[in-house]
Amino acid sequence: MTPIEAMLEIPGVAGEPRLDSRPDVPGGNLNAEERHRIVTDYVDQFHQDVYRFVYRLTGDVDWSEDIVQSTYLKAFERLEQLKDSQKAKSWLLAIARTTFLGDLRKRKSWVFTDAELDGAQVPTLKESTSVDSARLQNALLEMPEQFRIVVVMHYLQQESYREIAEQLQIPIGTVMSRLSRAKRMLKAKLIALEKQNDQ
Amino acid sequence: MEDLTKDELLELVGSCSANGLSEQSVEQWPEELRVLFELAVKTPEEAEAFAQQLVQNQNLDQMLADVMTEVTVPSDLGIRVVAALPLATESIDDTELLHARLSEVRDTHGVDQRRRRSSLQIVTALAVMIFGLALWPLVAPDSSGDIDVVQVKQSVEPWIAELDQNDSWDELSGEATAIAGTLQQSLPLGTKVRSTTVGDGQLVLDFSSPRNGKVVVFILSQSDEEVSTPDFEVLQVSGPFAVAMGRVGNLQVVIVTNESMKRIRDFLPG
Repeated sequence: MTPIEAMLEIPGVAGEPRLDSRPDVPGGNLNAEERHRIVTDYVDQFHQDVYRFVYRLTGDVDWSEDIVQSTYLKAFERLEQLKDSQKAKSWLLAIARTTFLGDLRKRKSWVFTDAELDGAQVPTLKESTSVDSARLQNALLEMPEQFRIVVVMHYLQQESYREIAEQLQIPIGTVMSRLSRAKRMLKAKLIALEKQNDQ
Repeated sequence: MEDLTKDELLELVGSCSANGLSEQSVEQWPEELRVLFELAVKTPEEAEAFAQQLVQNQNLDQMLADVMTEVTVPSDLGIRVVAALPLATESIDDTELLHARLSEVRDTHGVDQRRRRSSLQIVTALAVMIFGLALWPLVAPDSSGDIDVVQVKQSVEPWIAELDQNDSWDELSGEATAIAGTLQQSLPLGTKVRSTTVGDGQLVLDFSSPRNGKVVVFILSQSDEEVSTPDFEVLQVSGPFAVAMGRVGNLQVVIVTNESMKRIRDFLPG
């Protein structure tokens, strides 16, 4: 592994501790009781992570709750697909992500503002610029979903470029490019929101 | 390796701040990165601008990482998710069945109370409706006023609560088949339908499907007169429902959806 490749493994800023202890997933066919026990454990351990992840994608409490529910129902039905219990959280987040994208396709009226800008158009972020949760959410929702997903995976889930690339099945350069462009969009939106707030 | 733009290089260097890269001079960077830097940054001015942008990006990174986790998770979410798991035990084909919205799934605590209250409301609502129906020819020649809209609005939540509690649906048969046919002829509800009864036998048809979302039709009454074109009014109700009341054929019905897939107006004519 080259130095740069090693760097690409570095997760986002302020990484949270990775969970190591997870319930075992017995192989073979599981009966309903075993499934229920395992999935209930996963609910206990990960539902907050799944909800935070989904909320940052949707910005809507009810929709987020629906996706969390669907995620766990799908997990219940497809538990055999999880080969490595150590990856349960990533697996659940992947289900949540695809559920979100599926929902999005069905919501015809959902319109995203493409806030993508050229670098030259992006004003400088003042040192005093502050970000609160609601302002960040507004800025995220202005972003096309493929950028939003990458941002949330990187900053919330602390996933490295390589992990994001593997999960989304896109080249690592595309991840970098999307993150870079997403930050430009975020900067522009955060500055615009701050100006609105100042007025 | 793919060519990097200056922004991507900034992104790469910024993300490597965890291993102290941004504290080092460019000469101390790994060779591959140094080569990329030298390809992207040609002049001292560009190098200065790059350094400033790097600091700014790092500040933004830190702010985003700090704030991103600030999401309030509903305190009872885990309990409700676990309570909803039995939905998945009914050999569900995920492509065929739409799951109930989580906001309609409740912890069992309080359900009995709500059920009792709901039953009382249903009985009251039905009594009012029956009374209203009896008086209808005398007092309400206008078809939009034949049943008290207010009572219908108040009844929707208890009806849905009762449906959630019972959750026992039957294949169509007898009169329900004819009624479903009448609805399907005039409204785009789809072909997938099942039936049940609530209260003291009020017929309810379920047209829920992956395409529709959750859609149920309460049959309020049948009359000898038929309307030539369906006539509906969308009612403003509180709660996670959309409700429309009106007439189709010889039926007076209330349509309730959770609008998860289609808006209620998608099911109405015109």
